[in-house]
Parts: sequence; C-alpha cells; structure tokens
Amino acid sequence: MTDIPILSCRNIKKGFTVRGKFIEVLKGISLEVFPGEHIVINGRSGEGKSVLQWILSGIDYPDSGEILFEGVPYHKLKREEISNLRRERIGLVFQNFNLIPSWTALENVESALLNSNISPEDKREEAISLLAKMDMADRLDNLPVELSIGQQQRVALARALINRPSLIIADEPTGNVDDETGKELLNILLAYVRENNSAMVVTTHGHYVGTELADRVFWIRDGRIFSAFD
Amino acid sequence: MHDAFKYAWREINRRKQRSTGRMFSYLITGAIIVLAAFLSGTTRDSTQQVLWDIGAHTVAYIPRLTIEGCCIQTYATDLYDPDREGFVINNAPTNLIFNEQIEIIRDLPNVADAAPYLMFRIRSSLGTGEWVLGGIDLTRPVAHSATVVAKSQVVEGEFIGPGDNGLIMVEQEFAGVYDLGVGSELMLGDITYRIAAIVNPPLRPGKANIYMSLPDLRELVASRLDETTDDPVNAVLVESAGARFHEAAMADISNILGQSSRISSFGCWRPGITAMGITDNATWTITAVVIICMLLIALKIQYSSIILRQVDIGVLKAIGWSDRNIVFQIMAESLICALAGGLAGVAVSWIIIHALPDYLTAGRDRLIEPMVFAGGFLVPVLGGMVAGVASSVKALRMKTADILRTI
Repeated sequence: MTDIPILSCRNIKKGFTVRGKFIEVLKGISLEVFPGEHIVINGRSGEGKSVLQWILSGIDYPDSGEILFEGVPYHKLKREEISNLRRERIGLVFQNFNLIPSWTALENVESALLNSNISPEDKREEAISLLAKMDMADRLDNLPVELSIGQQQRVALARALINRPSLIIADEPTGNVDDETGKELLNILLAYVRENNSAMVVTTHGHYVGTELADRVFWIRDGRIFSAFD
Repeated sequence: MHDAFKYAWREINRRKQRSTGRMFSYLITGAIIVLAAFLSGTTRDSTQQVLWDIGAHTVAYIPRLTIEGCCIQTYATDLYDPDREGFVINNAPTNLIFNEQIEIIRDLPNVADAAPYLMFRIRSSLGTGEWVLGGIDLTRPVAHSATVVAKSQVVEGEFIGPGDNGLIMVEQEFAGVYDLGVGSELMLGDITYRIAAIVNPPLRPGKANIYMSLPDLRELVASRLDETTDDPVNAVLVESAGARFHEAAMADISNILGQSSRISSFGCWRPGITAMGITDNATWTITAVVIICMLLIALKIQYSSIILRQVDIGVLKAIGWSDRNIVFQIMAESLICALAGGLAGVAVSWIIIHALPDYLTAGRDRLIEPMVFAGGFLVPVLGGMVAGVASSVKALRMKTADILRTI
C-alpha cells in the first residue's frame, strides 16, 4: 500500500425528497481507498450502500462534499470525462450482473472496450482471452439467459476487469451465488487486485464471503460510516 | 462512429420484430409518397385531358347590335341582308373582327391556339329557309377541332384539307333532311360544291350546317355582298393553354375584343377545375395524414424501444459509455431502419406502379420523376432522424443512478 489514495471522499452528504419529505441518506461520509486495499462496507438494506457506491463511481452526485480520484475532484470533470474515467479506471460489478440480455457473453465483455484505441480484432482477442481465463472459453457466444448464475457473474467480472481498472467497486459480488462459486469469484477479484496493485470496495449486507479477507471493514448506519475495528 | 453502426446493427438484428415494424412504417411512408405523387399526376393529367377535350376552348365574337368604334368593321355588317343572309354566330348577327386581333389573341400566354372563323347564314338553294355555313382555317386543327368540327367526327367520306377548294362537309342531320351523301353536289348562292364528308360534331359553340375552308367561304361571302371585304372573320376560335388557364384566357380575349364581345364556352371547366382541386387536395391530404401516422408509428416504436431498453442504457452508461456513444447508436439504429425502409418503399412503389392496371394510369407513361423518388426516400430518412433525435433526447435525460435504483 502507498500513502496516496486512489479514491478519497470527504464529508459526502446525499438526500432524496420522497413525497415532499427530505430524507438524508448519507450524512457526511469520508473514506480513503489506497492501492492494493480490499475494503468492505457493510450495511442493512436502505442504509445507503448503493447510493454511496454510485457516488464513488461518479454515476450519481453528492449534495455536498468532495470526491477525488487520484487527486482529481469529480466536480471538475465534464460528463464525458467522468464516463471515460469510469470506463478506463473503474470496474463496476453489480449484484444482479446487469448483462445486456440481447448480447452474447463475448459481446458484453467487448462492450466495455468501446472507445478504446485498439482495433476491433484486438478487442475481440482481449475479451476472448479474459473470458478463457475465467473458464468461459466455450460459452462465448451464449446469451446471458443461456448461462448459469455463476457464469453470468464471471462475464460481469470480465466486463469489469477488461480495462484493467485501478479501482473495483462491487455490489454484493457473491450475493447471488453459492458459497463455493462465491469463493471462486472472490479469488478472481483478489488475484486481480494483487497482481495490478488495484483497490476494491465491496458493499454488502452481510453475505459477502470475502469479509474475513478484507483489509478494512466499515459499517454504514444511520447515514454515517463506522470502522468495524473502532 | 464505426462502433455506433456495429452496435446499432446488432440491436436491429437481435430485435427483429421491432426493427421490422420500424422499417415497415418507413417503407409505407416512402411507398405512399411515390404512389400518391404518381396517381395524383395521373388524375391531374386525365382530368386536364377531359377538360381539354370538352371545356378549355371558346368561340369569341361581337354581336352586331353592339357598335364599338375602332374594333368593328362596320361597313360589312351594314350590308346585312334584310332577307336574313349575313354574318351570324349562335344564330345572332355579328360584327366582324380584325385579323390582327386574332394574332394578338394567339400570342396570349394563356392561349394554346387561336384561329379565325367565319360563319355566314345564306338562303337555302333547296326551298325556303336558311343554312349556316362555317368557314374553317384548316391549317389550325388545335383551335377548330374542339370548337367546330374534328377529323374524328367524320361519319362518311374524307375530312377536307387546307388545299381542298370546292369541297364541303355536311352535318349528318342536315344531310339526312336533304338526302345528301358523300359525292353529292350542293349549290350555295351561285356556286356549286361537292360534298367530301358527312360529319357529326357534338354540341359545339361554332356548330354549322355546312363546313368548308375559310378561303372558299370568303369567296362565297364576297359573291353575296355588293361591297368586298378584306378577309372577313366574325369569330375567333380559341383553345386555352389548359383548363386551369381558361378563365384567364377568356378575360384576356374580352379585353382585346372589347366588353361588348361575347365569349361562348362550355361551363364544365369551372366545376372541372373545382373537382380537380378537390381530388388533388384530397389525395395530398390523405397522403399527408398517412405519412404523419406512419412516421408517428415509427417514432413510437423507436421511442418505446428506448424505454424498454432503459436498463441496458443505464448499465452501458454505468460501465463508461458516454452520452455521445448512446446517441450515436440510437441515431445509427434509426437511420439504418429509415434508409432501409425508405429504399424498400421506393422499390415497392416502383413495382406497384408497374403492376397497376392500365385503367388506373389512364395510359400515362409510367416513368417516375427522380424528384418523386428522392422525396419517397428522403421523407422516411428525415422521419428516421427525427425519431432518432427524439429517442436520443429521452435517453440523455435518463439518469443512470435512477435507472440502477429500479433494477
């Protein structure tokens, strides 16, 4: 680990108005993520884990506070630049995989390489190679519906990792699979983090098999974040 | 851009039903534009032809009872025979018209042709009564065919030509009354003529009992008057440039001949023009409605497709697709469908036009102007672009976080 954080957020606040009533979901979250770190953020449903995840990845905006990616504040980036940042530097893994149902496994992975300055043939080769590493070589042309849950999550992981991101933000990456498959997926992710000195932030409501292997564990409760070791 | 078309094509290919629906809407739009333009042209041509045949012509003359100084050769009409011989039109005595006036009328932009016409009433050589003679300028068939008599109205014999002196054509009913046939001789005044044809013109403004060449009738008229006249003419036969120009042509002629002139024309051109307008307007109104409906359907399908794919769009945005990537893909999808639909529509319309039965095309040439094809192709493409823009705006307004929350 180095002392320069990949991601840091300071005093993030976010709320929503529901039926005329303002509900503050995040009440001042501050967090720093360093290279090589594996961070787990626990919290019950509705505590704002997903909101925090989207704010960290630049998908949503905080009402106040500041987020910096490798020292660059999000609010100084244009929409297009945030999209580029997300595509090139951040790998997103969703609990429900969120694969495009009408695209094959290979096409789903390739889609993350859009706008990359490599030829279509190289994009294809790279996607095939990564899927092969995840034991998906024989399922390249299958649609998501034709894959098992575990295979779908492998495709989702390949899509998240193909741009070699320096930060992975994952929402319950093992939440929908059995423990054994979950461990396999976790091994893939942790191996990637180790090999690339990346960081990984996982949000979970308690069913994440890698919590014990995390470098730091936090809890979100009542809109605030607490370290599990405090 | 290449990627946009690649992903667009994939979407079109994978969602075949929706894509086919969109393309079909554009196809119908393109085909209807070409077909409507063709059929409207056919209808207009046919109506124009009908009106040309029966309504876009006139006989203009100046009744004798009206005297207008400069325009009237009064000396000829002063020789009006009290025993009912003289210059008549519609059985009423007339004044003469200057040949120069006919030249002026012929040069009017709303006039296709104008010819001099001489009608003279002469005492019968076969008992009592009078006959009406028509002297035709046989070098101008366009003007005399619809107003006096046409070659196609010959019942028996040969239509006389410009150089046929001493020959006459007799109206069928008149020939029946006097038991005349082709080859018979008939004395008019002191001159004997041979009957070259029996004709049966329908009701015409310049209908006479006997027709002959203009020079022959002038010679006969000269023999009946004590005073000679220079090439007398008491009517002008006018063929308008078309039914649409008929009213303007009549106004122009009236200005030239003076307000006391009379212009005898069939009234059918007026309702004909109205009918043409109604047909034209109805055709284009229906076409416009169908085109708008089809484009709206295409827009609706495209728009619905974006709504149904909002999760996909949200996920793609989340993994780093920019707004521009999304817009390019949607526009490319829309454009491919519109291009394919437009091309297919033009092709289908071409096939339909060539398969149409003859009675629907009224014998019209089935060549279609390139501009019509261009319109049939470009309107769907334009519609596709509008659908693409509308859908893109919708996609851009979708907030990724809001979409992900719904999953």
